Amino acid sequence: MLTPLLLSWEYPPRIVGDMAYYVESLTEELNRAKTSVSVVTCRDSTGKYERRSDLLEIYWASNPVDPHVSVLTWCLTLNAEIERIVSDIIYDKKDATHVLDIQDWHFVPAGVSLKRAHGLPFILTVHSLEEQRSPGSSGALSSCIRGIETMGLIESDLVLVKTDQMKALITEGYEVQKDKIVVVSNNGPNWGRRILAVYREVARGRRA
Amino acid sequence: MQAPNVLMLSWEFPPRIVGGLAPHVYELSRALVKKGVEVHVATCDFPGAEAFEVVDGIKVHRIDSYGYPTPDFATWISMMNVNLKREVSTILSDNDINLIHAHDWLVASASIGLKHMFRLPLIATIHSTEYGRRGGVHNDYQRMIGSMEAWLIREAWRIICCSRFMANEIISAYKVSDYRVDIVPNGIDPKPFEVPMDLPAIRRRFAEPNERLVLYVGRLVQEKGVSNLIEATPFLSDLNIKFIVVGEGYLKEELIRRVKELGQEKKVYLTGFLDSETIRGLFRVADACVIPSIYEPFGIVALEAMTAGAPIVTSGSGGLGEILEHEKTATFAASNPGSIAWGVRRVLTNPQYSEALRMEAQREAASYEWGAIATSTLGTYTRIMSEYNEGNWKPSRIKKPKVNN
Repeated sequence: MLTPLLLSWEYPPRIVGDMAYYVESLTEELNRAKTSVSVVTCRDSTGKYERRSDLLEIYWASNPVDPHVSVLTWCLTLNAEIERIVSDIIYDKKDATHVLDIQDWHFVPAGVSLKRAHGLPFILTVHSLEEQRSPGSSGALSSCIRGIETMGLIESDLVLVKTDQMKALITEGYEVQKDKIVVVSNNGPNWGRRILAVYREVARGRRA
Repeated sequence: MQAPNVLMLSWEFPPRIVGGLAPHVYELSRALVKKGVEVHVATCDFPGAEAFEVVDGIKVHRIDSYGYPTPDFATWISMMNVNLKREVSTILSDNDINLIHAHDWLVASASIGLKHMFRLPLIATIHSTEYGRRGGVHNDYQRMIGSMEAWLIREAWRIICCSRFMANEIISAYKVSDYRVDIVPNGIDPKPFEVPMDLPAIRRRFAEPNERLVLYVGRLVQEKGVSNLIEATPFLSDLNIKFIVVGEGYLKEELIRRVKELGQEKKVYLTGFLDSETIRGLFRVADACVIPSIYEPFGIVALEAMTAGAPIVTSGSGGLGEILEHEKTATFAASNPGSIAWGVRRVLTNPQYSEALRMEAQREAASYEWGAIATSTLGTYTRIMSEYNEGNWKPSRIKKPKVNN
């Protein structure tokens, strides 16, 4: 049984930008295709687990360290907690075939380590790049985030994007081969099924 | 029970030496290897050092830690942990390792992530705390480090501290149950102190023939109490002493300025960093060694002075009070210039007394050889492995990754 693990730093009710809505729509699409999904996300709350339906489980990670001096120390520390939650899922549900779908750079370090530790297929979904969010920035913070994005693009088994324009940006700017990047627009019909087909393909190791 | 295979995580390992962690991890690992333990060390890379090498039986993995630009030290530490975790995941998948041993908060995030991914027991040696190093926590940066320490302590199966003082600090500052803490002191290898050296030449290099040589070795930071020694120097001007202050630190410029103000430029020599061989030589020729620490989790400098046979004058703070005994192996003075001057005078003007201190201290130092320290550490490992094997957290199988990189 294929169970996608969606790792996202935002998911309703925590909404920072559009990513929360995208991930929520994706879970709905996958559920419509009778696919069980686990979302691993973050929120400062006492609740750690929520079963929204038979096909949708939400795991809430809270940062084990407080306070933090920057968004990077906050995010990178949180990655260890994400690794713990995902590993517990893997050990508890040995019969499932898991695929990691990591949304943007925030949990890329966890994706890389989990792939190496558990042999999990690792997909990176790119919503936007640091180069677009902070164009031309040569600051150390932006450079570090770009470094993490590069790590994810290199170490992932497959990169999912929503537009041809993003695919072109990545192939040109990050030396990622075209056939490693799949475009699935979230506007078209059956886009969830198309993503599910990508998950299955990666899980079968075709692209690993 | 068979000795476990251990992976140590430390941000420093020779030749990368920042402080006391590097020699500690090296000597402990070496002594464990001699007892049949397979030891891997994962650490930061260092210019000119091999990415992988076997050093005295220790399998050393040096991980690229400078590949990503970072805005500050805290973020660099976070990225260093990301890199450690990524590479060590492969090492753990390829090797039969039973236990992870972390040294201090600097590797907390990597150690904890690896613990959960591989479901291996984690042991943490806490060498010092942010609270102790700073005399409290005063800003968010320090609070963050303190919180990292608390996280590592929570996640560790057991905690090793080098002294009862440190154990008490952790128990009170982080609300740890006493039964989770083992006290295993630091060790010392006496052999380098027995190597034939031209000791008169060392002495000539640092002091005039008619001068007494009083030695301080340590970082030039507030917690080491070195300012009290500098302030004590005018009280001892009648004894014709050359004070040799070895080490670097943020107080250096202030100390140089203060030495000038006190008119002690000809009597106090701040040497900066010196190589280990020269420092060992200085311990051997010193007429007294002053350890005036205000905060000292253990005090490895005391073991070095004891082994070399340098009579010790000390504040006796923290772990020093557990290693040394007043009037038996050292002269204890209060943490103020007048009292330190009193202690130095007592040692320098009573040859029989100082000889007795020296002899007894040298005898006592023998109980801190690394073989004994490794045996105690192995005891902690064995206990953890026994509990781990009896529990139900251990996975039924460790999956091997199918990773193409």
